[in-house]
Amino acid sequence: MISRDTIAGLYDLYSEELFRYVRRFADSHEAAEDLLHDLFIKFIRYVEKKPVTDTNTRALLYSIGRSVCLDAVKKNKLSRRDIQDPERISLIPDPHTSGEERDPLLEFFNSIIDTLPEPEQSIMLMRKNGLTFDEISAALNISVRTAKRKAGKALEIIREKYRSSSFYSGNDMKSGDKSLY
Amino acid sequence: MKNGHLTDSDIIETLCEISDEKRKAAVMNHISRCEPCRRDYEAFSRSLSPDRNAGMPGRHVREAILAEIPEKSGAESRNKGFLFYRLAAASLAFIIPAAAYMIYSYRLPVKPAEFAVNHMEGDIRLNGVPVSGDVPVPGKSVIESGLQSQALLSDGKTLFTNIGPETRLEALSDIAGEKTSYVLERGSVIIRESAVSHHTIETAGYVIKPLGTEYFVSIKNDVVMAGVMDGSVSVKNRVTGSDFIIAKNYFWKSDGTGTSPLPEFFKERSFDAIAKLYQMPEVEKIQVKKEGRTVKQDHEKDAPVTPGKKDIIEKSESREEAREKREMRQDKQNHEREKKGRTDQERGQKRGRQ
Repeated sequence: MISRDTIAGLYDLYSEELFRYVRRFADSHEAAEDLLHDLFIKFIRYVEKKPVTDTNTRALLYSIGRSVCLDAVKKNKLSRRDIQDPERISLIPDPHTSGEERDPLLEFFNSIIDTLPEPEQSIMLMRKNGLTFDEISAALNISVRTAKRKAGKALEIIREKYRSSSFYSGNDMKSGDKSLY
Repeated sequence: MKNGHLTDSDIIETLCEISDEKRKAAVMNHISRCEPCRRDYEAFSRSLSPDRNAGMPGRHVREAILAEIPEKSGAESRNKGFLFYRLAAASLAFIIPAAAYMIYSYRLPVKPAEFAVNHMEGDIRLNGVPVSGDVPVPGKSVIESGLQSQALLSDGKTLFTNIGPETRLEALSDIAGEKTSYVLERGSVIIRESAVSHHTIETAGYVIKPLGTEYFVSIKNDVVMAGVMDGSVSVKNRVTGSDFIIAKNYFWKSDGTGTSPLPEFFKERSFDAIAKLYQMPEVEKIQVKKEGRTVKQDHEKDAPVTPGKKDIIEKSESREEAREKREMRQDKQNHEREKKGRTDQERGQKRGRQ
């Protein structure tokens, strides 16, 4: 049986980044808190049955987090953020946010990531949280090569939308590069 | 690069760690010198910046999670102490009459041996049911152990079988009978007997028959290994029908390395030591040559019945490639489906307009 101290330690270590991850799947702060709660409860149930090593704990937490989020989306518990036009993102501050100045370009990129299919979306969110490709491949049960390939595919989608957005000021010197794609 | 500038794929492949170190260094070097490329690189890198505006979960979430795990409270400790005294009193009440009975009946004939599995560490299952403490083992049973798990299967008098981690051992006939055979599907067993028995241990490709009293059998990644600490062991190849004997203080592996003397570290006779034996085949071979002993036997010719290490690696690589191909195929199908969906939608819209 896993001790309270261990879970408390893991929560303190990973809750912030896991919350950032589940928050992208939830339409409200409260819904994200529910997902984080479910994630840790599932993790506790899991480690009661199988031992976990330090090396795979983070990947396992993300793996469980992803399944919790996708289950909730399937059961229509969550209404996915409906962002057809990433440039029309709402910049109304969330009362729960840290109060840091919002970065429009980052919000723009986030909104594109929200529209990516799975597992590209999860890969991008995990990369944003600093997971290595080894950890991502373990969390998603795919090969490292596939994880990298899918991250590349996601970045190409981001590139296309970025180039055609008003955020892209253009670059005369590099205009010839577009023909490559 | 094109026109003296980085292409988008240069940047994307660097960010996705697809580029090799040389190319990555070239990209980073270029960025340090070229302002437009640095701007592009920074813009793309921003898409991988952490989202600091997601906020933090409330304190109540942490408390709700921790509330799911029972805390070892003072009340529980006190209850445990109380329980201990109650058990001690009950034990004394039992021990005194039992001792009196033993003194009275020490000349009575000994009961026939009963097999039991004793849970020592980790997750042990008998016929799929988790085991704790001593559990009697009926005939035709399957004993399985998890990671870092150990158990002892014994009759308490003549036969002691230590079951190592990640092991699956099946007893085919009545375990208390004379002719028992075990099937070792995976993992390791170390067996100690007070006399030579009629047991056999079957593994993939081989039947191992003890002619001694202390030995081990192990199977990992399709490589069968057997070693003898006392007496000897006969190994029969099921495919070719040939058999050979492993002498005391020698071990044999089915991957083609043949028979080698048990190394010094095996004195501890543990499952960790067995795991070490899998890792150092070449060292042992060299030692044998240095000592000038002839350990090459006929059985070495037919030993590689099971696939060698190289074959296993090649197989796993081909599995990886197959998985890659499968995933790429799925991606393509999804893409086509999406495209088709879009076209259908467009057609529908067109019709609607008409």
